[in-house]
Amino acid sequence: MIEYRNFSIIAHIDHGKSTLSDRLIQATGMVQDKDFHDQLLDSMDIERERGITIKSNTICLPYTARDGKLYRLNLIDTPGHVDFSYEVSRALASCEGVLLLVDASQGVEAQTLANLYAAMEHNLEIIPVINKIDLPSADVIGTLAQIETDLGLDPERAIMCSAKTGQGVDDVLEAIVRDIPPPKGDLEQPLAALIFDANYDPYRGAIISCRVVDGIVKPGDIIRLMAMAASYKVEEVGTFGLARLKQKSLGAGEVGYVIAGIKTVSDTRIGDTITLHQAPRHHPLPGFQEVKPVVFSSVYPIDADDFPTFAEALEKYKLNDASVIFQRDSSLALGQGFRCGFLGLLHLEVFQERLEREYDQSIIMTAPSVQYRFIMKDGQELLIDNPYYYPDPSKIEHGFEPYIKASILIPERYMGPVMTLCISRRGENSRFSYPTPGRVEVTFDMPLAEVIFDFYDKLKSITQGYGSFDYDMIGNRASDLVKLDILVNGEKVDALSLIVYRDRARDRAVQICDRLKDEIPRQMFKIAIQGAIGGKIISRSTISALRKDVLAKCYGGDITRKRKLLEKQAKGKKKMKMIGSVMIPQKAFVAVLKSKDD
Amino acid sequence: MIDIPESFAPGLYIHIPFCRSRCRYCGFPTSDQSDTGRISRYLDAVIMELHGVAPGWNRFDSLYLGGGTPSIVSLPELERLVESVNRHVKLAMNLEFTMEVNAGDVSRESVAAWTSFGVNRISLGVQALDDRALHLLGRRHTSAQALEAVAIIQEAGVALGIDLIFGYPGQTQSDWVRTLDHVASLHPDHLSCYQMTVETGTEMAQQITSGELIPATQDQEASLFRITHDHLTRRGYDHYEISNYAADAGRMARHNTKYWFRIPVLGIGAAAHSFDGRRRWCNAPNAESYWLDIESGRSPIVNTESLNTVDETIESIFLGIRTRWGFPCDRLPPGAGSDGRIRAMRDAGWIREDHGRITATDEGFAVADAIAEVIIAAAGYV
Repeated sequence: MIEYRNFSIIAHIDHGKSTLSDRLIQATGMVQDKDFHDQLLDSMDIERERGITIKSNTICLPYTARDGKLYRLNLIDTPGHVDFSYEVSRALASCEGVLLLVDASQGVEAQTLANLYAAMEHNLEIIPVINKIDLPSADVIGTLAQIETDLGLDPERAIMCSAKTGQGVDDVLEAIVRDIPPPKGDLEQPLAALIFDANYDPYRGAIISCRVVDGIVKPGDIIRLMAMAASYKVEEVGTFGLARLKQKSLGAGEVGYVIAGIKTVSDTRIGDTITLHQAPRHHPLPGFQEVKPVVFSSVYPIDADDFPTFAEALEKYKLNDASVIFQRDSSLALGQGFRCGFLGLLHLEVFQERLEREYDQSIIMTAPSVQYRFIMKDGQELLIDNPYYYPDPSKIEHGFEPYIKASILIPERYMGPVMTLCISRRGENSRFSYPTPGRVEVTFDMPLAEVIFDFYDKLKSITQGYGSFDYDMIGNRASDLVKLDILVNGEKVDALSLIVYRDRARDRAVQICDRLKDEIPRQMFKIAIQGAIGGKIISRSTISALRKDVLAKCYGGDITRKRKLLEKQAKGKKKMKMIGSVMIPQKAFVAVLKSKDD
Repeated sequence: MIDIPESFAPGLYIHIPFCRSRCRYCGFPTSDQSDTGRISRYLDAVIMELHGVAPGWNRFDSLYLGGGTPSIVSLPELERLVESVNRHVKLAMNLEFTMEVNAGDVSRESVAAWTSFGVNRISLGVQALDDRALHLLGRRHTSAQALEAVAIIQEAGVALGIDLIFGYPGQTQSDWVRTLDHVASLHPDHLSCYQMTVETGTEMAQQITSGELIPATQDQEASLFRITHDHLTRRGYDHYEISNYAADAGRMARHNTKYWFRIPVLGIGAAAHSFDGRRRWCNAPNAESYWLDIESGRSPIVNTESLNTVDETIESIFLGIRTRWGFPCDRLPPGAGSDGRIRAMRDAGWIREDHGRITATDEGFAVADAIAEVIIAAAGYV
């Protein structure tokens, strides 16, 4: 009889989550040393480079414990960013316990707490694991004390390990078996399986990752996805090794995959419940939400001629990422493109990077926008997420913008700067609570638009990485809005237009003109950059003409070096967008999204 | 318009990677351990490489001893090198034989010896005529030594090219004008005025990073470049390449010009680069690795690149645009001339079309690299 344990690892960034995952995989003999590489579970380049996890990943580790019994340990790796907090919550809902990893040289940090709360919300068993004990700067005793006072966990149960050297990894495995309860669930009940992820396979369609809560699912079953109200015939079920491992069935308590001829991941919803068509469950599992995009941006191919391949790439991308939505859009400056909706800014960045790397697309994205609501004088109501469709201002009766409740968790010493930041971002109705001594949770009502403009980066920098941030949408509030246009040598660049709060328009306009001045290289003539509301110029910057750009010496060895450099720069020039006769680099469109002092 | 010198025979370059001290702006892999034993060992290797390689080449009509500082090589050693060149290499009757010389090494005796070896053109590294600037640059000679060296070389009747640097940190326009006017009043046959390039890893780069020195701005550089052009052309010098001025057509640096016209050059010695018309290659970067290769019978070549047609076209565009002669319009695909970006450069007065060639204007010279980038992008070569 095989026993299961379903768990996840949660940690502040850089506390060693991926390294510990790697080590557990190695310790259970899942992978030969020669096949090993770092961050095994993070399959995307962007995850490895940034040291983050974007997509959930699951692996089933076979482990013979000291009691002699064979266990199967399902490690469900979760993304680590607020944009994906819903996905994380579904992954945690699929576990019975978590390893809460703390870096012995850093101690408990903000994200550690946020993670702890998330785990507590799901009533999970929490095993504190103190990592990096091999470092000379490790302070194990201090960290143990923090685990007791800050986290309120029993320090006696903490496991010491070094994921890097492998020390203590066996104890971690034993603790998983000993302390995390075996999954409950009733094989006799109607099938209920929680979908916590879905991936696309070009041959099989959507591969659903799920946790079977009750009942059993096997090939041949007709299943029903309750929220989607769609039925499919199961082709294959199995568990996750380094590759998929086909099984005869998946029963209550197990974590695995289901393949059922579902064409794309867009036909599935994370958090949805799978049940049997013939013997359905009455109520779906709790916690399902339809995730809605909150940030919108237009995406264009750099070369307008590439639109057909770009559209094709986007279709393919969508197969893998159901949470991005898009529709056709066009711009005078940038040509044909798509208006896309995202879960948040990181999601947008990931989309951009993946399109460029995995789908080989050169793209330009416009400033992210939230969705505004306008009540017109004739009573008509408009939802606008694209400045291009901003209505005639004389006909607007009221404007509204979406607000969030922002929760920020920080060590007390950062209170002052965080308050200042939030107030400068139109934060109001502030509240405080002190979850543990020395730490404070600040909540503010804030416009979402203020958060998508480099708020998270700012917060991280003023709190030196100790600030964690989460938010909930709390509906629309009335707002005085205007459309800000940007002109380059007198030509309006529609792709740079923004809808902004009136009192912030001048600041933003000045900021954008400054940023463009830095990002647009000097050219053959002087370039004027202006910000305008309606016909009124509210900011201006000037780029002088290029006057000197030539290598002084060009003999023998300089020639090859210079040719390679020129080719690189000419490629860059080719990618630039022509607005009138001004060449604007792609990064200028991105740079306006950030303020200068980052 | 001066005749286009495309019919030149190949050139021979010999590199001497030794200096008595390192200039603060120098990013070359030179060795400042210049004891005679090392120089001798190095020259043995050079002679061996020459012996092996040069016979396969056509008659050379230019020979260039560059560095480093070739003038620190002792006269007997230099004589040994020149003798072996004469023995192994086919040289044209009208050979241009240039030697780079540090002002501190010039005396009547040394110049007499060099000319007796066949040197008929001396490239003198004057750099500046201001002792404060020379100190800042880390040069080991004074301005008085430089002026004396000029007099000695001119007295000996050897063609003289003077190298100057402008745009170094702290240099004012009046500093530069003074130096330029003074040097021009000496009527050298040739002037090379190089804008300071701060190479990463040099002492000067560190001084800039630490804030000790403040580099010139683009606008300051542009003004200095313009001043150079105006002052020297007014005195009758021909501005025939970005950084090079000749007293008349007969006194252009024949060897240097080969690089911009893509005429083959055989490079001998450490870090020397060669081009045979289709391939470019270079030798081991420092003296030690170079002589170890040669002594053990290995090829010193560390890197070879074969050029395809596009590479060749790109080269002829960006090298050509550096010169008075530009490059032939037929280097561009049909219709590229009407590309908006190329038209804009014409409108901005950066380039013009003349006798089937595209050339940079005086203003265009200052931005020749930007011109090349735009042309290469517009022509679709990348």
